[in-house]
Amino acid sequence: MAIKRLSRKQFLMLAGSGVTAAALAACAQPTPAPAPAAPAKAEPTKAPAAAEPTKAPAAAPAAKAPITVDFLAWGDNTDIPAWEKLSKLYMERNPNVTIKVTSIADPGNNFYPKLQTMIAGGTPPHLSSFQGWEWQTYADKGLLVPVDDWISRDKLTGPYSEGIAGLDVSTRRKGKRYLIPLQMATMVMFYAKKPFQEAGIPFPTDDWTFEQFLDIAKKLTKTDGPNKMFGLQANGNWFRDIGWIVGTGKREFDNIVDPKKAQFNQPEIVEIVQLVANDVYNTLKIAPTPADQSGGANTIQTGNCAMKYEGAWFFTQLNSPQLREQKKEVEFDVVLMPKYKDPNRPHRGWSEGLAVPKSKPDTQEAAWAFAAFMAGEEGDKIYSETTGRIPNDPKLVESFWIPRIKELYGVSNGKAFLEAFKRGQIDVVSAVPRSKMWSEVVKPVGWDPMIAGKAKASEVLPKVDEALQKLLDEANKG
Amino acid sequence: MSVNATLSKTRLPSRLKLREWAAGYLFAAPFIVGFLAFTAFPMLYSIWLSFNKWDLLSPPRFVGLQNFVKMIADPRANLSLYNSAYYTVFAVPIQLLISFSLALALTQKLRFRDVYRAGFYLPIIVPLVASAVVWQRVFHYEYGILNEVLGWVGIPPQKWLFDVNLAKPAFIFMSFWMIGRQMVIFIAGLGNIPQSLYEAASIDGAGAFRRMWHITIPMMTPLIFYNMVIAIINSFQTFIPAKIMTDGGPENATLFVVLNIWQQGFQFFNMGYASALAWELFVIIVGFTIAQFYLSNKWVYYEA
Repeated sequence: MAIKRLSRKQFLMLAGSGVTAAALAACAQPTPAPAPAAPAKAEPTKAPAAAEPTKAPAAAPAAKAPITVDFLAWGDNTDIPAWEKLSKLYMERNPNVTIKVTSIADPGNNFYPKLQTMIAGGTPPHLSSFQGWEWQTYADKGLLVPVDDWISRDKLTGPYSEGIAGLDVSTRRKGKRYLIPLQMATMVMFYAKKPFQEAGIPFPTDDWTFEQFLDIAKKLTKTDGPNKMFGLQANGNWFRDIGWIVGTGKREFDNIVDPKKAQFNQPEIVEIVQLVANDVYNTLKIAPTPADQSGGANTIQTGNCAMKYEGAWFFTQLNSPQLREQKKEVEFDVVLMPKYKDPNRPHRGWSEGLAVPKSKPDTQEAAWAFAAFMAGEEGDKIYSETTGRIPNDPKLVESFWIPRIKELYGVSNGKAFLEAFKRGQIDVVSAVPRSKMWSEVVKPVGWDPMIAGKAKASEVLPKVDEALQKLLDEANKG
Repeated sequence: MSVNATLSKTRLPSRLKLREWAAGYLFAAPFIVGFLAFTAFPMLYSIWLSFNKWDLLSPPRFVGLQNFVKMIADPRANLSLYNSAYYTVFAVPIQLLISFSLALALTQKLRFRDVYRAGFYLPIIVPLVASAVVWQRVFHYEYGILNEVLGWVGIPPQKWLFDVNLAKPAFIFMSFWMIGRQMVIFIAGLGNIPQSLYEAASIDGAGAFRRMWHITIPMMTPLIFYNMVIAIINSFQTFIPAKIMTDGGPENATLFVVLNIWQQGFQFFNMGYASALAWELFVIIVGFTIAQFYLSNKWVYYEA
């Protein structure tokens, strides 16, 4: 039989059609994950709240048909290996489940834009990381599934200790739980041991006062030689400086959840902000300016600062088995924030973890099962050990984490974290995202001129209040 | 008029012609589909969005002209326009001057001329992100090479990216690194000026300066014009260096228009407002370009 050969023109036409079809196909929405076959248990399509309990959190979803869980994960360098370990282990135990992890690099900038774009595109993930103050907007818009019934069904009570305000506020909204905590988050004062030893100053203890802190920072500062040493590596932004603000006993808003009024301009807040966002750089000169620090210079990691307000995620940057092997470690320990005006010594404290966006009931169920595995004792130990972060259960913190961080990172005073978390207050939860408050108002109007030494807190904080009030009024108006 | 004549005027194209048209469109289809899907549709959609309020989470809500009214009164938007205009006004003329001067130098008979040409073009092919990181180091207060060099002539170190008064000049200075493309276009143009014009001018006693002023520059005006239009458009669209090096700071001194649009859209999730701002920028750029074309009649010489 004679074979008809394509002319060059016909070939190009066909190729053009093919490319066009491929382009169009690429533009189409991805095919949703295949629906699972009929589950073994009755009433498979019930709303999650009414779904029947499975035997254990780590168990696979009721149906054994193949199912894919898309997990949008917070992608800090320390987190990525944990997601890999956890998803691998879970898939080994649940062969019908595929966990597709998408880790977002530079998550502070990129995570929520990616999540919101996915939601807007009609392809939300089945499981998503969330910070304790960010998920509320999503819940208010009906995009997240409450997890109360799953919690009681699967008896996942470890991460939800009663009586810790920061935990409650960052996991529950309007009576319903949404956040599945993977870690208790709080921040304390880190100090490098060497500068203290060299200056003959005793290490600080948890009962130190603000005056002692300032005195030590001044004594440790020595910037006239070739090797500069600053007493404090100030954080230079509002979020971190909340750690100082809470110590006054006052807050920047009338309510920390759904605020109606901005009130930075209170004498106590003005005083502390003037000190930590202006004086430490410009008059006391105990902290390197942002210009000094650009390009990673003059930090506690480089051995040029003695103290820094940080969280457990920072351990690996100072001292770890790998750093010790390379002889690049900075020996350090931690201490509670110094006593300031509030005798209860509040710290910042919140939970971070996961939430289940709305999807098909069986996918929601599968996403919950994986989340419950990660938040359960075994999973959270893996998460905590891999990332250095604080586990989600105070009992685990005492029995597992505190000894472990001593061994891995040389932290002797790990209990300071637990103590700080118990006294924890969450940052603001508002319809105006915290990032918007910062970028649009607090940074350019308040912190930038203060850090540059061009304005005092008493001059800029009334302006911050005024501009924030406009944002709040607009948002509260809807 | 006869019926036949009318029919012949409105006669459908032949089958052969139609097949040729179809083939032509089919060949162009990948581009047409790409253009419609990735350029035309997003542009039209953003027009629609600019009349809506949309946070990506709830459905868009029609708000009429609210975004445009807000835009006019928004000090942040106006500041970003000012910053971009400032950058453009200073950066573009100096870029043109430097690139033209370099092109003149590199059309002379020099040893290693091609190496110099390649060297000056090289920054263009370096990713902007990498450039931004390198320039952060250059501007570093304590260890930066710029402050080091200034120190040789007794100028104290400056906080380039952290001083409201110096941040924009620092970005303008950085932009001079990226003049390779303009330089190459100028070099090509200089090579096309007929040698006979210079010879005639020399015979008439014209010196180097007169030849430059009366021959080279007039003959190059179309390319100067082209480079200027492109440079102005690019300057108004500056984004990556500002995002990486300062994120708009200090005190919004480097909050350029596109950075503000990005922040409104992807940081504050005001997609409707960001769309309105994007269209404002579009109108400004188109307006500038039309004005330049209009003014070009007065100074650009097109050889007949």
